[in-house]
Amino acid sequence: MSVRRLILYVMLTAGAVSFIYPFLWMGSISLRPMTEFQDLGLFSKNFTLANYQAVFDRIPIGRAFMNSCLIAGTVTCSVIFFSSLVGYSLAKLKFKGQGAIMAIVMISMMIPGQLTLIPLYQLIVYFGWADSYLGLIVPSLMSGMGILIFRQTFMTIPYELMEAARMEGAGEFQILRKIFWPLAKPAIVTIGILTFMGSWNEVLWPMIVVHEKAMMTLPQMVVLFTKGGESGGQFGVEMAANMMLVVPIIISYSFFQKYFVEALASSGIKG
Amino acid sequence: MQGLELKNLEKHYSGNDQPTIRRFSAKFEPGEFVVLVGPSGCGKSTLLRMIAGLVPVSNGAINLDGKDITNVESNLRNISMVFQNYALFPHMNVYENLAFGMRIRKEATQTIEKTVTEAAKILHLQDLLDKKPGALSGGQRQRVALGRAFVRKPKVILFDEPLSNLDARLRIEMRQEILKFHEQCGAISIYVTHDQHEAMTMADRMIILNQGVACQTGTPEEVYNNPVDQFVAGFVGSIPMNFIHGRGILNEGRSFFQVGSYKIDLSHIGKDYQLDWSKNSGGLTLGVRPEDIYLDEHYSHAVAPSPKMAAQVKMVEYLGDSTIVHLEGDIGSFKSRFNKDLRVRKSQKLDFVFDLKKLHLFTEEGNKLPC
Amino acid sequence: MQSEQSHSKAGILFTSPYLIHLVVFFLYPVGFSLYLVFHRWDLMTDPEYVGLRNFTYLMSDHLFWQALTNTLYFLVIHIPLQIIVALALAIVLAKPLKGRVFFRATFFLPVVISGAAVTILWQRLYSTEVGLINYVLSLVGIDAVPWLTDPGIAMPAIAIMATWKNLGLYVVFFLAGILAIPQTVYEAAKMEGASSWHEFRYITLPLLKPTMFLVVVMSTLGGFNLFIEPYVMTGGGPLGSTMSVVLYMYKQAFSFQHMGYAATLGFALALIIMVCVFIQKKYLDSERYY
Repeated sequence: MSVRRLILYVMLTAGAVSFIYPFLWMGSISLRPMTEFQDLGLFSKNFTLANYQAVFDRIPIGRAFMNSCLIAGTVTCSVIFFSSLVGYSLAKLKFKGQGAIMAIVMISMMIPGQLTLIPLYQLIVYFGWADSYLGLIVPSLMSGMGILIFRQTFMTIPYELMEAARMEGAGEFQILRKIFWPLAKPAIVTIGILTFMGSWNEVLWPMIVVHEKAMMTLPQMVVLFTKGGESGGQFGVEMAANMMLVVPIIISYSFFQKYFVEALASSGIKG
Repeated sequence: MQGLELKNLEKHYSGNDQPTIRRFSAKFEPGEFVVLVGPSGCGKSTLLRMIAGLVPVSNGAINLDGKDITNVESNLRNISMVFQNYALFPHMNVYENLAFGMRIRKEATQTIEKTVTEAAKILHLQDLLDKKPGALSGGQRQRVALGRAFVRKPKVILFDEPLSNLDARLRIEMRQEILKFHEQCGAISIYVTHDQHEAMTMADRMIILNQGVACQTGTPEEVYNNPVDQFVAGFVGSIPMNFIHGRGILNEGRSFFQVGSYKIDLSHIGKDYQLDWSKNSGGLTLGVRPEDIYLDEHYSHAVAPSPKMAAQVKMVEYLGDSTIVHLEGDIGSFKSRFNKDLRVRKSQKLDFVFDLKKLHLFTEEGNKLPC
Repeated sequence: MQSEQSHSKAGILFTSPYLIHLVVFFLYPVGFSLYLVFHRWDLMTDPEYVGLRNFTYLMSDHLFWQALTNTLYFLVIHIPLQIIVALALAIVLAKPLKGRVFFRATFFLPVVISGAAVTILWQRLYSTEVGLINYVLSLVGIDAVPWLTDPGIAMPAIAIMATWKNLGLYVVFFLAGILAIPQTVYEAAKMEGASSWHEFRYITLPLLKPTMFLVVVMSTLGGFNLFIEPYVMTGGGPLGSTMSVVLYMYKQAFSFQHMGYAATLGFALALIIMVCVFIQKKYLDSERYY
């Protein structure tokens, strides 16, 4: 191995450590008694679950976890279903107004979300959806990006497959369900990951529409827990709460690393 | 009436001035293998899709066994189709591909199994039923596509350039397989291709389509020997017919074709054109197939030789079974096909003759003059 | 029969849920925001028409201008840092190194983690007395840095954290861009006697322009979206030095119930973002050759 290569490896390893160590340290701190909060090492003889116990005692974090799962799950299913319908219409059907719909999808993606944040909040209040699942879920049921990704993917599927199915008497929805969905699995995975992650990690919108603890999402609750003083400024307890936010994602990332990278990389295409 | 009848079919797409298909009429007898051939964009695929019910008909009617099916749903027409690249569903195994239509129609599992097994037996697919199309060879895929057409027990099978993306060797094998399948089915087969060679070798009857219009219908021999116009003449034949531009003249009551200083006697094909060449401008195109050109002294007695003409060799293509020589002379550039034993060099000067009995004569508009 | 008619039927059926949703949750809010910017509204009483007063207030609102300046400060540090580090890593990882999949996966880890979690973690890493970062710095003899409590350092600290969080994504973008350049181009350059530097300067860099544009635009959008980072770490302080526009908008709306003014802030921010992206597109975007 050449010296140059060795230096390269040393630098890469140092970089990698700076990306992993903070998470390991956070995990370690969350498992240690309060007295060790100044320790920057990873190991201790006194590992304990007391901090986690404290989190569960002080906030309904289990409920928040379920809320997040429910919300992100519903939003993801809806985005996949409805985006594929629109993507199919734009890619493979011919009808009046198609161009206009395509244009409006593009425009809706170009306008920054900050513009509609306040009016959207008022709409939710008007519907009486504040502090409810509806308020958290309904505004995100559709996604322009999902439509574009599906459209792109569906355009590569040959018309002959549709014609072959039509000659057998399949209707448009049957063609979508039996041929396009199975063939677009990678796109479904991509959109699924992007949507789920986006919804799971979102904090601003929940902070705007939800103030009741029972309806809070996981990141929102963890933020308010560390910010709002319920953690009592206790380092280990804060990190324990944060671990509960991070660990599910790290676990799924370590299993589906390739898909996560591909999905997020393709999110750049829209730019 | 038994068979398929197309009456004055037309297709207009909004936004196009010219109709894609213009007043197309044809009749197809049961058991016939008819090839629709034409250059890309001639409308042959549209025509096929109109018969299939995938593209709505603008004008005209389609009758199958005496019943008007012009507006019948595609799946109720008793017609099946083999698509370009076969259009097998890549995520389903062979069994599911064959069963797809029956599953859509919600037929009983036993019926499906019986039909699929039968088709698999006929097409030798028994061992492949669990495989997905991606794991099959080109030939196996074609058999699955044929099987999918077969399970419908159709009266008409449409083929949409099924061989266009295969390599040359496989293509020749597959042609035989398709013809064998056609005989087993006994249905009307309508086969679309842009490859005139494929059309010639497979067709009972061929229809040549150009710009949405049927130019000529006939057996491959008829079309090759008696093309109705310059388009057909140029389209059919693996090395295209040579076209030479010149003038018609009348000399002592006999018609001649004049190009440069040569006068070519037209009496062998024209039975004395008693035409007044001076009335129209006299401009004509003479068509000669490459194999109807002979080196001076090399022709047999069956040939009626034209006057000797001179040319220079520009390029030689040795094909093995024959030799294509590109020539240039006073009459312009042209190609001829010679015996494989002939050895000529580039730049060599040669004398050659045409076989006067095999000439074709076209007006300036490309219409054939009657023989 | 399967004709244009049935296409229309399916098309309308398939797109109508989306269109209805779009009208209610996009078009209507856009329209309503245009209404709100001309009104004062506290959510309790009826909105009151105030003409252009929201705008004139905005022009003279030094907190808004400070938030905007903060964002620009963030971008000025974040974008170059992001590009240099990500590009360097991508060039290294484009080589056939052992373990490059592992390194790529590692650098990508923070990308998938919620910004809130990263911020909570980094708040501790940045701790002046007991933070990991100052500890590491002390090992090389650097005095403790008051990362989040010094008005001059707090914003750069957030920018460094944001770079750490997003780096992996941009490494992947650059990697894709580099790997798309055909090897033959480099071979041709080598035959002309080009050095590694020449190859980088005259082949890699120009051909990565589209990726560069993408990174700049996405970083810019990220910068204008800053919210949870200052919310958790500094609350906008010290001395308003990390106040972001979105955080300011959030405070105006939900701490002070100035809905009309908050909508005006959102409107102005959206406009600024669109202008920024438009300018970047005009000057940075280029053809994709590969």
